[in-house]
Amino acid sequence: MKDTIKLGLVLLLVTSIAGGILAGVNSITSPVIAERQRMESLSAILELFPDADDSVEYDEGQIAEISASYPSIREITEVISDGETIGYAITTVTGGYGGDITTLVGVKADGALAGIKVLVMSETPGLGARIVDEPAFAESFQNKGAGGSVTPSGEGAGEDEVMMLSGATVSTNAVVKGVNEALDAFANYLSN
Amino acid sequence: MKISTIFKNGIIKENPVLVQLIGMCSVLAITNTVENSLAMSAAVIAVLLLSNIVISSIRKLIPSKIRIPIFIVIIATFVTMVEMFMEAYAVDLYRSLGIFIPLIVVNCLILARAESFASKNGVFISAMDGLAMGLGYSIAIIALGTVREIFGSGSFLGMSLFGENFQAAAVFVSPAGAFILLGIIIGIFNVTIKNKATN
Amino acid sequence: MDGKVIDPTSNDTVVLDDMLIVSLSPHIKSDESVKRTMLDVIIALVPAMIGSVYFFGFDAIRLLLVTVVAALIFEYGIQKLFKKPVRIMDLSAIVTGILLALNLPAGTPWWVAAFGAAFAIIIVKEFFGGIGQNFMNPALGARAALVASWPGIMSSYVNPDGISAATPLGILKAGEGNLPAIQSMIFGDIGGVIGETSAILLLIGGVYLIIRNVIDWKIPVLYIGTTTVVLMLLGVDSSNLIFHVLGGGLILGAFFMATDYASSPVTPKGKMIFAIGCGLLTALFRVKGGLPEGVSYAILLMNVATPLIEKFTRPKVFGEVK
Repeated sequence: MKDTIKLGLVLLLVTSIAGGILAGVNSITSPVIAERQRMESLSAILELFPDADDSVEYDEGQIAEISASYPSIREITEVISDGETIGYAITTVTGGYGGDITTLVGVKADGALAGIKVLVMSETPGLGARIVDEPAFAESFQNKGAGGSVTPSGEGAGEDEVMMLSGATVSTNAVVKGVNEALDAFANYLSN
Repeated sequence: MKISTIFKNGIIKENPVLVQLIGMCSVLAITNTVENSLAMSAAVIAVLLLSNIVISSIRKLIPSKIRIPIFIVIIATFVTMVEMFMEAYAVDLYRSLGIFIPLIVVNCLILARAESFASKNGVFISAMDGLAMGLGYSIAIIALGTVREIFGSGSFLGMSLFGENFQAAAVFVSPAGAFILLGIIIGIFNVTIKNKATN
Repeated sequence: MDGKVIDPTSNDTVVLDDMLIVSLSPHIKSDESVKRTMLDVIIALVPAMIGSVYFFGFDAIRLLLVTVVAALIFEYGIQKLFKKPVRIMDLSAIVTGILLALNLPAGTPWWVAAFGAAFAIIIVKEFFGGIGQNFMNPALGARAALVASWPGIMSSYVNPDGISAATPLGILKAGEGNLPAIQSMIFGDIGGVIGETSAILLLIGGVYLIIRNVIDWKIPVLYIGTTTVVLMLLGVDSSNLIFHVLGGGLILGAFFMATDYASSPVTPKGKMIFAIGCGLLTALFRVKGGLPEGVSYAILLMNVATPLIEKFTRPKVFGEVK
C-alpha cells in the first residue's frame, strides 16, 4: 500500500513537470498558431470576396441550429465590406470518393455564388482531384445558383449549371451537394 | 562500448527500419516525398536524442515498476513539444505529416531504445545511441522517400524531373507501393551493405 | 522437352519437369507439362486475340506485342540477375503478357503496358519464387498496380470505332447513357478492355480449355452462376443481369484468371469455395462498390485467401481419426 502511494507520487511528479513544460511551450506557440489560422481563413474568404474588409464568424449555437437541417455545414462567416454584409462564406464537409471534401462556399447577398474553393480533399489524382487541379471547375460555379441550387452538367455553361467532371461523378456530386446545402441554408436562414 | 560500434549498430547491423523493421507505420505512411522523410527524420532524431538523454540521466531515480509509464510520459512530452513547434513555425510540414507526428509517441523504436539502452547506460553514450539509431532510421526513410517521390511523383524535393508529359506511377505514392519498394530496398541492402559489414 | 524425358547425353538421370504441379492423389501419368498447358491456354486465347485485333486494330497488336516481348525480356533479365535457370521457354511469361494486354483499354500507352509486364513478372511472379510460386495472378496483380497508378488511363475506354465510351457496366453504374444491344456484347462491339468485349470468342477458348482438361468446368460455371445469383439477391433488375454477365470482365476472369493453377486452391472442394467466393465478391463490388467493375479485385482477394481455403479443405487421410 505504502509502495503504491510512493509510486503514484513519483508518477505525479513526473507528469506535473511534463505538464508544466508543455504549458510553457504552449504559451509560446499558441498565439502564433491562432494568428496564422485567422490569416488563412481570411485569405480564403478574400479569394472569394475580393472587396471584403471585415468578417464576423457565427457562433456555435447559431451554426448548430442551421446544421440541424443542413448537416454538411460546419462554419459560417459573414463577409462585410464598408459596413454592409456582402455575403457569407460557408464551410461544408461532404463525403467524396476518397474521404471527406471540405469546400468553402461563398454566397453573395443576392443569393448567387461568389465562388467556391475546395480546401481539403483526398480524391484520386487524375480523376477526382481535378476538383482542385482544374481551375475551370471552381470557376464554373461563379455567379451561378441565383435560382436556389446548381446542377452539374457538361461544361456547366447553362444557367445554374456547373461543370461535370467526366470520370469524377462522385467527387463532383460531393462538392455540388455541399454547395446546394449552403445555398439552401442561405435562402432559409441567412438572407433576411 | 566504442562509439564507432554504436554507430555501426544503429546504421547497419541493427538498422531500425531495414533490419529490425520497427516503427513501420510512419515509415510506410509518410515517405511519399523526400521533404516529408526529411521532416520526419528531424522529428524522430530530436525526440530520440532528447528522450535518451533525459531517461539515462534520471535512470537511477526511476522505480523499475513504473519505468514504462515514466518513459512514455517523457517521450510524449518531447513529441508534443515537437508537434507544437511544427504547427507554429512549419505548418506545411505539420499538415503533410499530420497524425504521424503524435504517433511518434508509440513508435516502438523510441521506447525500445529507452528500455534497452538509455535506462542502462550513461548520458553521453545514450545520446550517441539515440543519434545513431535516429540516423539509421533517417537514412532508410530518406532512401525510401527518394525512390517513392521519383517513381511516384516524378520529382525530387518537389522539383519536377522528367518534364510535363511524364505520368508517374501513383501506386508508389500509396502505402502498398511503399511496402513493395521497402522490400526491394531491404533486399538490396541485405545483399550489398549488410552482408559485407557482418562478414 | 516434354517433361519426363531421360536425356542420354546428359549426366542427369532424370530431367524433371519445368514445374511440378502438386495436386492430390490419385496421380495419373500423362503427357501434360507446363509448356503443353501454357500452349493450350495460348491456343484458347487466340480467338479473343484475333477478336481484339479485329475490333481495336493496330492498338491491340501494339499492346499484345509490347506486353509479350516485355514479359519475356523481364523474365529473362530477372532470372539471369537472380542466377536462376532461365525458363522463358515454358511459355508462361507469354501467357502472362497476353492476359495483361487483354486487360488493358485500347488507348493504353506502350510504357504503361511495359510497366505492367515488369510488375507482373518481376514483383508478382519472380520475387515470390517464379512459376508455380506466385501467390496471385501476375496479370491481374499488374492490372491492379496500373489502375492504382494511372486511374485516368486505365478507365478511359474506347469503343471499337475509336470513340471514347463507357463500358456497359459503367453505364449501369452511372444510371445514364444507352446500354448496347445484346448481340453487340456477344460479338464484341462494345467498350471495354481489349480482351473482354467479345463473349463468344472467350467462350470458344474456354470450352477448348475444358475439353483439353486444362481447366475444371466447375470454376467458371460456379463463378458466373454465383455472381448472377448474388446480383439478383442484391436487387439488380433481372433485365440488367445479362449486361453483368456479358458486358464486363466476368467471362475473361472466370475462364482464364480464376483457373490459374498457382494462385487457386488444389483441392476439389477448395476450388468450388474459391469460385463461389469470387462470384460473391464480384457481385458485391459491382453493386456496393465505387467502381463499376469488380472481377479483378475479387479474383485477387480470393488468390490471397487460397492458402486458408486449402488449409480447411484438406481431405482426411483414409482412416484418420479426428
